Amino acid sequence: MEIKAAKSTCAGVIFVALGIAAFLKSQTYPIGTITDMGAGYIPAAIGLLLVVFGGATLIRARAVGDREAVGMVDIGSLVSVTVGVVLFALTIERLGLAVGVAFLVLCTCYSRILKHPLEVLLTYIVLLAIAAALFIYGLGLPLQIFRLNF
Amino acid sequence: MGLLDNLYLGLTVAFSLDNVFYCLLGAILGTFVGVLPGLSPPTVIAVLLPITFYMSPVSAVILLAGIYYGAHHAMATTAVMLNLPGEPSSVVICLDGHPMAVKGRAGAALSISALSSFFAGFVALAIIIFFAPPLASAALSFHAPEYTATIVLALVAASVISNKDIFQTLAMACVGLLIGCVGTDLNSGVERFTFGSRDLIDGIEFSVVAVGLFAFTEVIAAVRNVNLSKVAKMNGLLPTREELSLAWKPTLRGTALGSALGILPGTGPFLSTFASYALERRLAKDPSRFGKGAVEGIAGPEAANNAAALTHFIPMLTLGIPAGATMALMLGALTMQGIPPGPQVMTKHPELFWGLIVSMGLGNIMLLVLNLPLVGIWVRLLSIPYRFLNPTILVFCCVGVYAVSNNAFDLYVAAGFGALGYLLKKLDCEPAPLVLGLVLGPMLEEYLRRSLLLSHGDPTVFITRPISCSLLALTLGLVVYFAWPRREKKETVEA
Repeated sequence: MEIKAAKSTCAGVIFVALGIAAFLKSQTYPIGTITDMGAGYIPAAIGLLLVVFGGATLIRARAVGDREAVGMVDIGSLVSVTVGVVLFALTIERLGLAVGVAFLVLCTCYSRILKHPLEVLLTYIVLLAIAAALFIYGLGLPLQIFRLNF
Repeated sequence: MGLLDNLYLGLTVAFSLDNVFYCLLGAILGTFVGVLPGLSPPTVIAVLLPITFYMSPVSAVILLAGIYYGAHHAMATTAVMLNLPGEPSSVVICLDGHPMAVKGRAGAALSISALSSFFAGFVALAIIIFFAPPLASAALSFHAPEYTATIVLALVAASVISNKDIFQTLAMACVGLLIGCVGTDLNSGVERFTFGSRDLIDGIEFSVVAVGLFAFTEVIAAVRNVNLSKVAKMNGLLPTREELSLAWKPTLRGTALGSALGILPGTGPFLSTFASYALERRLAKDPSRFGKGAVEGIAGPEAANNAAALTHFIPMLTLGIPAGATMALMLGALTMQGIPPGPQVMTKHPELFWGLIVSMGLGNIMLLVLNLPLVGIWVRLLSIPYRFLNPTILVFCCVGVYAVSNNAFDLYVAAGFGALGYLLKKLDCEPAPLVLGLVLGPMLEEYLRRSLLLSHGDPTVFITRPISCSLLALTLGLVVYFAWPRREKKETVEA
């Protein structure tokens, strides 16, 4: 996916928004005074600083005419890797390492699986063996290779 | 006598069988990381961080430090052979190293870089041995305002001295500070930014953020990048006598410059390499040779790079203030082991401090062997396809993150930070200041609070105390120095 907006604009807007959100959320915690700071004092101050730096990013970009676009964002890889890790997290305790590692290999090698099925399968087996040897037998983690537990 | 006793202690620790093994493993892994473009030291340290939890603190630090300085040594290989900088600091090595490779002097360029790194490494180690103990005892007289000022210096310096936009990097440091606020406030017991989640009450584990921001982000960016470019040819390792005589003076100057700059927290090797390159260019009789394969342009910056990489351990070990993202990760590893970083590390855990020092000397020798006679093997490694690297990184990270607290929730957080890290990367926002902010955030809040409590709310406490005042003045100087020329440069480019 191609994004035409300028990098600095996107970054500035994100920082300002995050800063405002942090500042507002901090108001729900006790603020205290400068001598005796409450839980909200520092987060509120950081929120304000973020607004300042985010705003400065926006102003500087406008002042020097920095309009370099964000360009191509590889949404496919972003989603596949994130989903792969989430599926690993969902299955690791319920179905064991064999299923979890399968998701991780699939999410990085999905484009090659039809062209080179043997290579992907081999990668999977080797990685599963190393992970099992190192983490289960070496470090003694309470994980199992195969498991059925819902 | 005290020094000899300490060195003896260090020798016994560093030369125990498993620590020699971890030192060698660290040096090999570090060289591997440094050579492979696209794999950066923070990524690999993030991958190993959860595993170090199961090692003894000394071994963990020896291993991670080995990766750190090993990578600094080996980055020159990729820079010279492929013209690809692994980190901003090795951009400088590309400038003259690659032209030398094109001229057929790649071997000589690599030898000079390895030899000057080796020399700088030992000088820097000597500096640590002689300066760290007095600095640590001086640090014992640091009070809350001085610590506050040092942390501010580290954060600002790390943000300012990157090659990215200054406001953006400062904002990234603030985001890190905010993430550091998540969890129960230690002073009042109020839960901050937990959004009612029980898993967030203890805050966000540092290694989880690091794995997300460095490792997952790297994988997302590299999934489609399965092959590598062509490698320059190598012939003959030995530099000529003429090349050596050109190299030794820049090496000395680079070592001095790098060692001095390395002591400042937050400056990073980027500053030292650029400063050394600029210095050599100014001193050269014929500056036009630079950029076309000048030996001085490799020897000086490489020495500065390695000296700074090692003297960075001084602020980290004496004050507990990391000089950059990789150092922050090492501090994170120590904290996970229950060793609070600070001046007391040297007195309470002498085996850790002196063991690390001696093992760094040992590692430096190992690296010379790994880098010079074996350089051919590493160059061949440059053709490892990324399609095997990506799933390997993912598997190690996921199982490792799970292993830290046997909690699948951490993986969701890491996945989120991976996606966030990729988007921020697309916006040219560097993750290093964020990580530094995350590590230093809780410390900064605590010291700031204490300073103002002691001064009864009077903020001038930071400028009436001499040490904290000079540290803050230094911070301001860095900001002014690095904020101005950049703007001018951009304007001239447009005009």
